[in-house]
Amino acid sequence: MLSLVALPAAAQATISRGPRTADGKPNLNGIWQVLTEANWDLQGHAAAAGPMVPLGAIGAMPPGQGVVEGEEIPYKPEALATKKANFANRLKLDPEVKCYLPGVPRATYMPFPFQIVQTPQFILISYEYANAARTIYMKDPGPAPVDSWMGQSVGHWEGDTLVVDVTGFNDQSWFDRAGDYHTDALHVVERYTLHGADTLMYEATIEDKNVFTKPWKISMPVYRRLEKNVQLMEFKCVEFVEELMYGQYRKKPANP
Amino acid sequence: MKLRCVVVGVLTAVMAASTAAQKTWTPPRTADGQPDLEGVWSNATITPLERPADLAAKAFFAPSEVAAYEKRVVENANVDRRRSDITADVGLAYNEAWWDRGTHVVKTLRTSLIVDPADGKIPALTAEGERRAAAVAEQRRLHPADGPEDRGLTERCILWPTAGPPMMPSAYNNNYQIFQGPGYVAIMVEMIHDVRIIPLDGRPHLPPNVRQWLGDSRGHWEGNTLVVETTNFTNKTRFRGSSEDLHLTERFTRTDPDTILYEYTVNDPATWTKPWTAQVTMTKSDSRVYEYACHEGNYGMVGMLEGARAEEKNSAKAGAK
Amino acid sequence: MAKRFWIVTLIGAICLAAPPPKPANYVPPRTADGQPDIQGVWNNATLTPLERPAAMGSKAFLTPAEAAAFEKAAVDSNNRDRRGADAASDVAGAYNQAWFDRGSKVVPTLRTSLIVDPDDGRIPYSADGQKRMAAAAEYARTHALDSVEDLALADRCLLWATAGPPMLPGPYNSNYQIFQAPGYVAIAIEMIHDVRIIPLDRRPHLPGSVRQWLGDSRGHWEGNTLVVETTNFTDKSHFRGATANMRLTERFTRTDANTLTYDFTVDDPATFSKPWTASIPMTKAPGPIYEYACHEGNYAVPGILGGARKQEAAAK
Repeated sequence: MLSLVALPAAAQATISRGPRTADGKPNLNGIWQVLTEANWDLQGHAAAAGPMVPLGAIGAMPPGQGVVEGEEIPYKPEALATKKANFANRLKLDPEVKCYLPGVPRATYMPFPFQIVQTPQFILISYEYANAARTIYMKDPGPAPVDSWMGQSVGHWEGDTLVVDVTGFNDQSWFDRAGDYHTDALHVVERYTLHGADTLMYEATIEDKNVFTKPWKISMPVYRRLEKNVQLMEFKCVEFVEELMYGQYRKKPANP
Repeated sequence: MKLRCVVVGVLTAVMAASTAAQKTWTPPRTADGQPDLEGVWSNATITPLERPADLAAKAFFAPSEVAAYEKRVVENANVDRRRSDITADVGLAYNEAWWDRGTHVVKTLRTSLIVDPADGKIPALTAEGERRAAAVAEQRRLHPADGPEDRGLTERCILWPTAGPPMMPSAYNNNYQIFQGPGYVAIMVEMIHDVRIIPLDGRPHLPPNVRQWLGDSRGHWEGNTLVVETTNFTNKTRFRGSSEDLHLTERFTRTDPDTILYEYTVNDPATWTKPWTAQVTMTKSDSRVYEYACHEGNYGMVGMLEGARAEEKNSAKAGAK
Repeated sequence: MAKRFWIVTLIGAICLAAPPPKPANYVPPRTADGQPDIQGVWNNATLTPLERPAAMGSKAFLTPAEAAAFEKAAVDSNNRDRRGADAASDVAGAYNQAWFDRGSKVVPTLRTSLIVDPDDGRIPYSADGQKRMAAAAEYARTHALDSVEDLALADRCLLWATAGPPMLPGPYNSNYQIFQAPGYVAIAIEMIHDVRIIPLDRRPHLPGSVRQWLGDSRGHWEGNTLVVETTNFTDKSHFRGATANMRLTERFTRTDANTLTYDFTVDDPATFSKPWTASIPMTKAPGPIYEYACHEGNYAVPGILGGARKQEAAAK
């Protein structure tokens, strides 16, 4: 299958935008980003003031029409109380504040780009936010050996849709800044389908028997970043939260 | 006299049936076939919303009465209010140099903007509407200026009656520019550079938990009349005391090259015992819409709050003596 | 620690050993878009240090016997019983190979350093470079734990040596997974889930005003060797004392089915009197790459700094 003829250097360097990869699959390679406000709140919401007065409009919550099919996340009553408590205390509790890994599907709809590098056996998704990353195994490696923030992703093609089954989550990440959360029973199934050359239709079905009464689904388009020479840049935010997290341990100047 | 009444009566009948009747004048069409409402329009008028008490029995002006009425109203607005002391002077000093309420009654010659109920007055409040109004009034009395939330929406530079909706004439800048594109009508309101973008494709409203100051509007054409339904208001907008369940229907019909008949029906059973309807005529303007950077120049709010705090301090000192 | 191993080895060494023969000419398979295929999970752990230890003098290569002895001694030493007389020294010294994964072999060339140029196997610091290093060491000595900025980048969960670049083996998790797609090579580095996505289309670097922890990389193929040029470093990572103007050239060549030879050249005239080059073999590994959620589990920083503050308070 692999050609032993040396191709000219130019061919090796061409970034493919064709609709199919060499192995005949839809070509998801590229740099992508969503335009929804899902990271603030998956459900439809009006604009609202933010939790920090000094940030003014910069810290405010923008409005969003919502990305949840059926509009409401089907919380169990006691779990809904937890979500509300999460929201009330979000400055302290939202893992995004501390630059923690965003989990899945939140990584997809953070307001930053991500890059898909697609090979027949693995699909790498590298996220600009906190250099989060995950490898989608196109051949099932078996159960996840350990729980993690980003889970273990196993993918297969259904026609022209990439279906990714994600398990092995810990209970640490949130779905958005509104306090929507899960336990380590979380199971996510994503579907990526090309819709023309520069748009991906993205769906994720979410289930967690400890939190929700039934599975629920989000969907949104994802757009290709078309700027010339576009690339992911570093957003290594750990450095920016050190004062927040460790400032209290700073040595105080000696008093004479 | 009788002939005049008949003329006026015919005019009334024609105007009242404006939404259903086909006008003799046919508006031109936009490129995608909508009746053309585009341009800059003003809805400034001296006609009040409700019929004044001294005109209680009179639904319409006779054409001969109009000029005198207009003259009287305009002169009254410009009367010299200067008093002996400076405080009253500053408080009352505004005249037509500052206002732009218009100089004409509405083209329908009605004595009120309200066309229904027939007495030209807002219908009675429900018990809950009265309760809410009383609570708001009490709050204002006790807390006139504790913080910006106690002041009116115009003083806070959040929302003007010219935007509404409904879009009511106000103290000045009663200007609008209407744009139409395939599947949309957009109304740019001068104050406060609000733009109502109204889709015409029959899509559903926003979910009920999403509330907006200007509500959420959906439009469609019925003949030459644009019908706009608006819901999803907040509980802070309070048009004349309305609740967040206000359902507003507006109708725009271009009746001649220089006139849009703008009619709105207020439907809010939580507040009023029955719906009510008003009409305003919007007149083509050859001017432009200016930028109204309200918040950016809002010295008024700072002055009012600082003044209130100073007054409190003074009266505390006076009380301590 | 290093000196002890090499003295043990020196005892067994009589003469310089000849370098082993070069591997046979290997033709790597190709990816679908014609790139030499370097994909897969690779590990670059090795007992060979970056610089030749002073005790080795001018010895460039070990003999096979010396290498075997050294390897055994190193592994034994790493696993020796370090338990101290009391609990405090016990905790400080208790780490052994159960916690580390430094590898168990020297490089197959049996060179006494990863550095292949200069010949003395040591980093050629300029006078300025040495001065800066000394100043940094002095500052670190007197401000060891004032605040989080005084801690090592790895302890802060900002950057590990395994990511670099250049990508040096670390105390554990020296694992990498390489992906290739048309026009790109992507290197996913286990610590700290950094991904280097290297475009091959000859686009220009980022503007000089943009600085990144891992710099900004551009790659192209020369025959079967991937050449990666990296610039735009920050003035915070200081690879072996280098400044933000460091220019790094890396070369990846798959020299056999299970070996990716990784060479890198460091060029920073403000720090080094000439460019210097090192070579590390990367070996095919079974994988998988695990998630290294360093920051999310960083109990160490509050512990280290909180402890320092408590010590100061107690000293008053």
